[in-house]
Parts: sequence; structure tokens; C-alpha cells
Amino acid sequence: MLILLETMAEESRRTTASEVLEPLLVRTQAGEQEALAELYHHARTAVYGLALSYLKHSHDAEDVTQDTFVRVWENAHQYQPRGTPLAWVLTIARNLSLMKLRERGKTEDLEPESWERLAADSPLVTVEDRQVLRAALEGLTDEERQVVTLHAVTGWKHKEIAHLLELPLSTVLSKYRRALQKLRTLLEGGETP
Amino acid sequence: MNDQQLEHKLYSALEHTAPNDVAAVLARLGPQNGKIIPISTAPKRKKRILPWLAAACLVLAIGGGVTAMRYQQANAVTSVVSLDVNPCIRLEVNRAEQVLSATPVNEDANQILDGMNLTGTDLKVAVNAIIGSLLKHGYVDELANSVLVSVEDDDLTRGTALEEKLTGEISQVLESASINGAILSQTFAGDDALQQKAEEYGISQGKAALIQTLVDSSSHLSFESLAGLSINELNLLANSEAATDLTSQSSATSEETIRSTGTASQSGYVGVDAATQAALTHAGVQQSQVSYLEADYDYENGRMIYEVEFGVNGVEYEYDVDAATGDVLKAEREGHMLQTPAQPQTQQAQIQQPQTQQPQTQQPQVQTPQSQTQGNSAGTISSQQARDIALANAGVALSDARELEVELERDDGCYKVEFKSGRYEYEYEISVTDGRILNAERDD
Repeated sequence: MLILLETMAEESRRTTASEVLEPLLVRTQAGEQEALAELYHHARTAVYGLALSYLKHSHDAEDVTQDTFVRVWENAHQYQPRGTPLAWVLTIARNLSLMKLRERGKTEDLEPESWERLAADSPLVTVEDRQVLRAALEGLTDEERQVVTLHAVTGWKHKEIAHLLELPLSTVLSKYRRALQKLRTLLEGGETP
Repeated sequence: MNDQQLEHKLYSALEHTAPNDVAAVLARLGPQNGKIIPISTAPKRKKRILPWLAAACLVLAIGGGVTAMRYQQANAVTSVVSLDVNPCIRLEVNRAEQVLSATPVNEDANQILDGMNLTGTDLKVAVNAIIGSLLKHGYVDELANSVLVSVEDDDLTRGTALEEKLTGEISQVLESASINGAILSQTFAGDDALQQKAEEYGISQGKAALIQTLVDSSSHLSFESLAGLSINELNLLANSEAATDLTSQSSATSEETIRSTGTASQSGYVGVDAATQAALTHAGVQQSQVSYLEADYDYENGRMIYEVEFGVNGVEYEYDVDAATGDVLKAEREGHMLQTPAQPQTQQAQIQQPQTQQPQTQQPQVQTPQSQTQGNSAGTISSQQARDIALANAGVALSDARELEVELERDDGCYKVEFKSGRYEYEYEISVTDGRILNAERDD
């Protein structure tokens, strides 16, 4: 499966490009459900990735993903075409994730995700996928995970990531480097850059 | 592992685990905020409850209708995509490019799908997974690198767009696997006749459509003969002259309907250069003497061949060379010289005898020296030797022979040598194993 990865990441950058998402959001504003469906298709990985990096729990992240697109539909009129459609969608996802975390704070902490069961019903999830997610979710700090995930799913500049996560640019840069180093160590067993 | 690769892995893992259930989202959609609901007919002074009820019912009905329509749209098959290598997988896709069903069309495809449940996944993800599995199982490699992508969609514009998207996707996947892949792609509308043919031969409709296009654009290819070929072989044909010899007369050219990316693997064959060399050697001609030379793939008598044509001093040569072995299967020579004077009648009488199947007594005189001096080490003779044996028996010089043809008849274990000289037409059958003349005929 390794060979497929490059294609997918490149694809992610293209499918979430502003020129793709902007017209879809405008059509969603006009009440076109089909446009929303297409938007979902383009942005679901980014939304889910961000939610998972906050929530560390796949079911919660799935819920937030669905809620995000329902919110996008409901609040589409609030979107101002400024060439940052994905940022707008991900802001909603981040807010919903933070809300979920707060809700969770009132109750007890979740049990750690069982990686063997993660998406066990999906044939697409490979052993390597599970290893990577486990490394990202268990081996990284929250901020490291959020920064590196957002970079992976959006291909954004660090400045844009800093803006969305409301972190200083210097923090984003150092967290990003540190996250990659840690991931590499976890997945390769010690190779340093 | 560099940074990019690490991030790719992370992205891929997320893409695979991310939910892909747009229907669940659509089912939850209510009215949008901040929108004026367009029942804008201003209420009249008299408030009557009935019209309002009616309007409400109408809204409900329309709303219900719209929801039902959405549901139907999400579950309606708009396109059928098939991926053919030898394993063939058929994917039914809805308008949002989600897979509604994935079906293995042949035995091999079971192994490729290997229990993967692709229903509900994004088409691109499904295609990536399938190509990955094809690579893993060794169906796409340097020997046979061709993939056929077929989109069946009554909306050809949408189908073509999808076809292009998939071609791009697959070529990237193959590229990242360092496979120099070749992709044939086509879009066509549903067709019952085609469906029937596909079922009859146990192939996908996509492959059937490709074969039909080849057959339609060629003067000698038949559906039946091509049905057993691999996609790689069909790709070689699709890009050869064989598939375009009717294009000047037909409006439906193969280039219009079949798009081709990359070059089909020829590693399983001796190559055009070797085939050309075999033909030139057979004709006893140097490449430098040749005024024009064409060599291309074709499919004849159940095998892939190179058709090699060249001209030397106004004499045309046409050869069929076995693509897999490099053997000369057929040699034709057509001279543009004036007819030589008719041979004396007495010679005709002499040659009529072998025609009556008495080779045993006739042969030794002519044949023995030939086979002794020119016989191959394996005890078989070459087509060139067969030609010389026939010419010697007829008493015709090579330069006097017109429309010379030497064809290997594998099943009969002989070469068929035909040529014209003067006003006679000669036909010989020469044994492959020892060069004996099995049959000789001469007609006016």
C-alpha cells in the first residue's frame, strides 16, 4: 500500500484546493444538497483528521465529522467567499471538537482506543494504517498531533496552521519538526533525520 | 522515510478510517439558517386555516418528494466502471462517485477483491485499493503492464470526465510503484448487444467494447479471435496499424473511442527490431538496400505477430514473424517486373508428376543435397531453405519468381511455398523436418 500514499496526499491537496471547494460552498449557500455531498467527498478526510487529532477517539471523531457538515449546511450563509473555504469548514470542525472535549470533561475519561478494533469493519484500513494512527495518537502530544495532522491533510503553510489552531508560528514550527521526528522513531525504530 | 512519506502515511491512514457516509449527513439536513423560507405569498386579511393546511401539506409532500429523490439519487447507479487486467472488476457508482457494488467478473478477480468490502467507499479509494491489490498479486508488471478502464454511462460527458479522472489516478499509482504502466480507457453508453457478447465470451463489457472497436476498425480481426487475448495484447493491437486499416473509410476510428496512455509492455516478445532483422535475413536483403520499411503488431491465426513490410528495388516484401519466437511464419514477395516468357511445355509435363503425390520416388534427386548442405542442427529446415527447394524443383530462379509466399503450416508440419513465374502458378508443400517435397502443383 505504501506506493499509493504519495498519490493520495497529492490528491488531498488538490481536492481541498480553494478553487474546488469555493464553488461548492457557494452552491451549498444556495441550498443545493448535491454541492454539500460533493463538499463532503472532498473534505471528509481533513475534517475527520483534525477531529481525531483533538479527540483521540474514532467514534467521537466520526460524530464530529458528520456534525461539521450538518453545520456547514445550516450556516452556509455565514461563509464569506474569501478564498479560504477549507479553513472555514475546519474552524467549525475544531469548535465542535473542543465542545466535545468539554462535554467529555464533565464525565469520566474515555478508555484508550482499542487499535485492533479501529475501523475493523473497513477493508481499506491496513495494518500499517493502524500502526501510523496509533503512533500519532499515543506517541505525540496533543499539539504535536494537531499540527502534523493538519499539515498532512491540508498541505497548508505553517502560518495558516498557526492561525487555525490559534498557536504562535514558532510553536507550530517546533511542534511540527518534533512530531515528525517522533513518528519516524516510532515507525522505523530509531532512524534519525 | 522522509517527512513527506511520513505525512503521506498519516494522510492515507486518515483517508481510510474517515467516515464515508454522505447519506447520513444528507438525512440530517433541515432548513438552512438565515434563509427566508419561500412561502412568500403575503397572508391575506382573512386568515383561513384550510389554505395554510394545504400549503403545509404541499410543502411536506414536496419535501418528502425531494428527500425521496435525494435518496434515490444516492442509490441510483449512474456509471459502471470496470477495471480489466486479466482479473476484471465491475464497480457500480452513484452520482457522488461512491461505490454501490463491486463485483468480480472472473475467477482471478475473486482473489483481487479478497473479501474487501468496497460498498459505500469513494470510487477513487476503491480504485486505489484494487490497483494496489493487482500489483500485490503480480497482475501488473513489466511483462504485462496494461490496464483497461471502461466507463459505461449514458451521459457520455460525465462518463468521459470520470474516465479521465480514473486514468490520472491509476497512472499515478503505477508510477509510484515504478511500473511503466499503460492505460487504455474508454467511455460508452450501455448497449444490450454488447452486454450479450460480453456474457457469451465471459468477459467484461469494457473488454467487449474494446474488442468491438478493434474489430470495427480493422478489415481482418474478428471478435472471436480477440476474445482470448490479454489486455496487454489488445493494447498492442489498439496502437498498431492493424486497428486502423479501415479508419480512412470508417468514421468511428479507434483513436476517437479508445484513449491510450503509456506504452504497452513488449517484454514478452522478441521486439520489432529482431522481427525486422529476421525478415531481412530471410529475404537475403541488407537494411541499407531497403527503400521503405514498416513493422507493426498484428494478430493472425491465433498468435501475435509482427507484420514486416519493406521494398527493395521496386520489389515488395511482406513478412509475418511470430512475435513470441521470432520465427518467420509467412513470406511474400511481389515483384513489379515484366512477366518472363512462358516456360516450355515440356517442363510442365515434368512437374505434373509430383502433383500426383509420389514424393518418395521423386524427391531424393533434388532434395538430398539441399537438406544435407542447408539443414539446421535440429533437423528442421528454415523457410528460406524450403523456398529454395521449391524453386529448384520448379527450375525457377529466385529473381524470376513473383508473388513469392512461404508460409509455415505448423499443424501439417510443412512449409507452403507459392509463387508465380511466367504464366504459371506454383504451389509446394515442403516438409519442415527434412525438406522433402510433400506436394507440388503447377497451374496455368
